[in-house]
Amino acid sequence: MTEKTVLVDIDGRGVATVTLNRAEVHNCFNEAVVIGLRDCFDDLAGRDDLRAVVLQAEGKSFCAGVDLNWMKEIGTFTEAENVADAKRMAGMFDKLNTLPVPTIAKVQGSAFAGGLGLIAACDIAVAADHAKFAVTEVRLGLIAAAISPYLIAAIGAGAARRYFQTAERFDAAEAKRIGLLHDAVPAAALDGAVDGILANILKNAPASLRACKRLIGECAGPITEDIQNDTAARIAAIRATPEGQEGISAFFEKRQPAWMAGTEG
Amino acid sequence: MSNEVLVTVDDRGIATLTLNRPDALNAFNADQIAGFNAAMAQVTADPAVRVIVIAGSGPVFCSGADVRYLKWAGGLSYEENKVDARKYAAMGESVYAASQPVVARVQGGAYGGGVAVAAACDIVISESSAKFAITEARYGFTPSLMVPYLLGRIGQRECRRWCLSGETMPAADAFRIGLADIVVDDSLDDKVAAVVDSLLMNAPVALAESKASVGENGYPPIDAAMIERTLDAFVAGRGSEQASEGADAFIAKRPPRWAMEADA
Repeated sequence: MTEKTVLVDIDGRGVATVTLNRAEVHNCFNEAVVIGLRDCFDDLAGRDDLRAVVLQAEGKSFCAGVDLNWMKEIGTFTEAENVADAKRMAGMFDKLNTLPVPTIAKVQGSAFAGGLGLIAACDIAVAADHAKFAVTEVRLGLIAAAISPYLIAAIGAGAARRYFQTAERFDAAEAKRIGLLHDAVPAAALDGAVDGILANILKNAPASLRACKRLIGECAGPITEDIQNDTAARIAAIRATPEGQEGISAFFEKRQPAWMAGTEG
Repeated sequence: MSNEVLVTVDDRGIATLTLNRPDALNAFNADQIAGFNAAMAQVTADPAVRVIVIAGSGPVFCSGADVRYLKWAGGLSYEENKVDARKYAAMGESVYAASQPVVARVQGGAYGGGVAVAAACDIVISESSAKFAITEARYGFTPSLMVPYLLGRIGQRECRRWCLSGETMPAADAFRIGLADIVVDDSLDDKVAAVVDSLLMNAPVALAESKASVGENGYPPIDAAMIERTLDAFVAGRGSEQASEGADAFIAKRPPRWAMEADA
């Protein structure tokens, strides 16, 4: 591997910047990225001097979700391998969600499917106002699974019922309205907006923040291991179905999947 | 009876509780907390009271806990601290549990514990020029006691942002996220009076039943376990070394040692 897929930098203030570094494929995640993120979050969680984490991405897109090349490969897996892969993904989101310090998603471009999971699992999300969003899994015969607990916690069941089922694109203003984002600002103002929130966080007492974040999670209802295992089982099951296989095949064959015949895209 | 909290009940059954330490921007100390709890006990038990309005005298609705009070409480033993914290928590609980609708009249601003009391109210009416901030972490303790009410009002997503950042938000943002229900550019008193008038058109028992039904079916359910969990977090927070540093820094008008100046 020549280029690292996940970059981490920790500055003198204790602010870690984690960068998705696969711009050429819209920062979609494959096995290496999931492991890279998981290990990086694991390492950050153990640092007592950490004050905040910013999750950002290189290039035009923030994150296009799961790499379909990887998804295609999973089609050749045994059931046990398939489930193990899905659990690894769920575990990565859990580690991000439970990082003990405040986390900020700095969303410079569009995000789809699993990319929305990364945003929703952060405490605070700010995006450039040209970014677009969609929960696209059902277009491919799949479901939003591992990301669902985080996304539903952020946008509520009402918005989830719409966007999980329509897979329609929505803009940053709508993403802010439904709660995925806390702010949408012109691209040129994104750095300043994130720095402003960080400046506020760095005025706050570190142990208070850790206690506060933990309490909010507990009071709101923790995303338990049972929930994570359940979502992993659901995605593992659906991607092995004929519909799931058809959706991924259609994508690579650049044709409409069978269920779309006779409809307008 | 102290005059830290003024209570009036008019002949229409409107009870008004006024936080009355304007020189301290109505910051909660032990006396004001006791006064508030006594006033709530009095008006909620009065069958003639149909609506409760919570107001603050002076330029600001409530600036939250008095730092000197917090410092005092932080010096108590864990058990004494918790006994006292129950009185602090009782303010939100009594507002939330009151069978009568409770309206917050917010002028100027609500900070820290002031947000907690407002969040527990059924209807929050604010001046458009008012500011809101959940400032606890600035002083080294945690906004634990208000988390259940905040989750019900603004949800986990906004709760995480504003509790962790401690940013000051204008009333427009408070309205957008659901912390304020009504924001007015013109007369706050006129709007409060209009809302109270509409509440008085409704049947008292139906109102009480409606409020109970919403409370019992809300998410997350605010039950004894939730209150106990938030109390433990609050007591641990204000008994911590960081809280002591936060109070000392505030009193000495210096930044606490954790505060970083960032360029923003």
